[in-house]
Amino acid sequence: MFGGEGGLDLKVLATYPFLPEASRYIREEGPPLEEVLEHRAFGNSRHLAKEKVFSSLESGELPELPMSSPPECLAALYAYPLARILVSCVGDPFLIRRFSLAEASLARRRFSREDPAFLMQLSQALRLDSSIDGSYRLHFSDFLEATKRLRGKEWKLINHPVQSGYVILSREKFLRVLEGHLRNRFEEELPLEVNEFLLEAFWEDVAKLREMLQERKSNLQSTDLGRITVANFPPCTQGLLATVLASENVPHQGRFALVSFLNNLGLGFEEIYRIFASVPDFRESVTRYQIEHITGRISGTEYTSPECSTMKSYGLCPGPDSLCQRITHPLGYYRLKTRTMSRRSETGSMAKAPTPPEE
Amino acid sequence: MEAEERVRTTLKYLKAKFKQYYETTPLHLPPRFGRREYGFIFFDGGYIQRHLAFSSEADLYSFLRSRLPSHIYHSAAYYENPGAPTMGEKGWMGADLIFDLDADHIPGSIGMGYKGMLEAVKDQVIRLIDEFLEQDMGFKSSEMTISFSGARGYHVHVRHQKILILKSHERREIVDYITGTGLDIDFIARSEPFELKTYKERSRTLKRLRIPTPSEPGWRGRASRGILRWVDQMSGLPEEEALVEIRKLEGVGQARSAKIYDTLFKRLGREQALERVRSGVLDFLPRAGGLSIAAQGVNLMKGVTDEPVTSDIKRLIRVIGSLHGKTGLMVVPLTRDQLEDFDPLTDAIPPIYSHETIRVHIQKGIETDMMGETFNLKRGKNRVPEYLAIFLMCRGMATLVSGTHDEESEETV
Repeated sequence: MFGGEGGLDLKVLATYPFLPEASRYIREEGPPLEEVLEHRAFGNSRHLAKEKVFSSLESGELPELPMSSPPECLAALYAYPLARILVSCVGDPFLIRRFSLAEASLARRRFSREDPAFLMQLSQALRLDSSIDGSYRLHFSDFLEATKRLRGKEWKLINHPVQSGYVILSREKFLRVLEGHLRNRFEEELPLEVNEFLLEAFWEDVAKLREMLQERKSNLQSTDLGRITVANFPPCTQGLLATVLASENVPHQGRFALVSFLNNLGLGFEEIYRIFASVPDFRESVTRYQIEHITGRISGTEYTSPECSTMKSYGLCPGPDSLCQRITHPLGYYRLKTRTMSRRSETGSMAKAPTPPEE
Repeated sequence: MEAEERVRTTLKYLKAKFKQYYETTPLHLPPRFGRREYGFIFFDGGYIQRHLAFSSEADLYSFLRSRLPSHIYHSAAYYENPGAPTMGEKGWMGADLIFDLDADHIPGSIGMGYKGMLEAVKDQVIRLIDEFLEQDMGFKSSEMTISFSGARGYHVHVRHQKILILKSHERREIVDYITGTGLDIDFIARSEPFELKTYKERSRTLKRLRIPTPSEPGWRGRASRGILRWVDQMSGLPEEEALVEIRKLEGVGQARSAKIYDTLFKRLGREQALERVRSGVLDFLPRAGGLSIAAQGVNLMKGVTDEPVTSDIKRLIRVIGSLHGKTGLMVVPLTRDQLEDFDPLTDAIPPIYSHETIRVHIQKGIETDMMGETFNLKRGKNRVPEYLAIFLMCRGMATLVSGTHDEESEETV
């Protein structure tokens, strides 16, 4: 579709280096990897690759690359696989997420400059079942897959026209969907397998990136520590806990949500068991089994507590308060509120606490 | 003592029948047979035995004939190692998209009776297939397998190539789509500027409420059809009753309901009201009233399906062609056309169950339909056709009477 002859095609490949045609070009027409990693001619590619990775971590925004001549296009084209190798050498999940997001959003900026027909060619090259007919049409399963991280009601399938398997989208939304698709794909593909040779070629940058990541983590953990404060629970789990303590019946999904939530906050089997044991009519063996199961004592799998959309589907969300608007997961609420509260107490202000969760 | 003995002979009888069934009747096994996990429940009670895999159909049949399970399931998913004991080791590869409609989930199904519930759930499964799965989602009939569940509902297995790899979250979106969950009313009804009025140098924009037209794709057209249906329903009621119904709308009280009724049926009249709705305007009503009617239109069109079954990508589902241990009925494969005239209480009775009568002890008086006949059974010993006896014994409502005593107290039905 974007065959390899002529400068224009090379520019397309350099602009969209994640297309299957781009990797085929590199595989079949490019020099061997050792040469790209070591030869002076590819110094510019290596430089651009590092710049991509560092800026994805620092600002989340990737620079536009010059592509006015064939050598510049080649440099830009090779920067993409090299950056992926560097990310894989570090192998950190946070870096993978940041890099994938940044690459996908760069792609969206570039897509937005293309005309509809060419955009359609690109989306079909990405194996998306799409067509154009006044508006953009995309198979609903591709839409669901691409938008699985987007949680506003404007992204729910039900709030779109759907006809004979296809979702009808505006151009703006279609571009966002392409971005979502790429982001998921990049995250799934990384990390690539790396060997000693690659690690050695990038050792200096790998060390630097690891240091930056470590610094970020220690900052985060110092706010995460400290004991659990029930006042910082979101309305849903706070309500569930209150119900359990009042020895009223909590549906199965509700118990699962509460136990996994407490477990994710760092409470162990014994501590959670004690909360439930205070309930007068508590059924010893059943409760023990459930908690052991959820905290991973039996199955070896520790469960993550359900996200907001799941809580809503199960009817466990009592209705969001103002803080809920900013999160998609009950654990996010806890973290956010804990951070806000500790910042308040640090500044010593007597400002009012955030709106208390509604009953 | 005697009761225990009866339970034992009942179980023995049922096992023999199930054995005879599985010796003579082939199952409808799913594609990718060897990649599925299988699960069984047995007559003697106890937990489900799962994480089993079979490399050939013959192995499965010999398992059935020797172990005589009362319930047989296969996984919606297919795995690298379907027989592995934990989900992690199984290696999930994909899963059919499953819909389960049960009479329990049909609004208002309580009090309908078994037969009525089965009819109501059948209407809903037909809507699910026609309106949602075919019309909106574009699945072809060759990509869907429909079955009667053997008890109080229907299953639909969708095996379209593109949906097999969808995970829980995406499947839940599909459920939300069908059940009308999370629909944004702004997507259906929108105020739009309509006219600019100027009065003494001050201008004001008049707005009107735009709604979709009936033929629009997806939920917009569906909501429009719902609104039409509601207006039509109201027009058929005497004024007093209509006012009571209109007040049931969210945010509509005494005054507003009167205004809505007057506008629709006195000022405009039924035909003109329907025509306005069909053309996509609700501007003749106060905005809040219009929105309530739009929301009601949506409510009337909500589909039904059981959420956890569809979103669980590791779920077990009944094998088609097997027997349901709690009814003795078959899990019957159906085409969309067969669904119309399907009567579970006749068509799901295995041909090997005879019309000869046998004697059972009935725990509690019961009235039930089967094979087109109505049976009115009193507590105590009764002579009933074998197919009915098996149904009642499986449901735990009757036990087998063996021997020849108590001849004179029997009633033959």
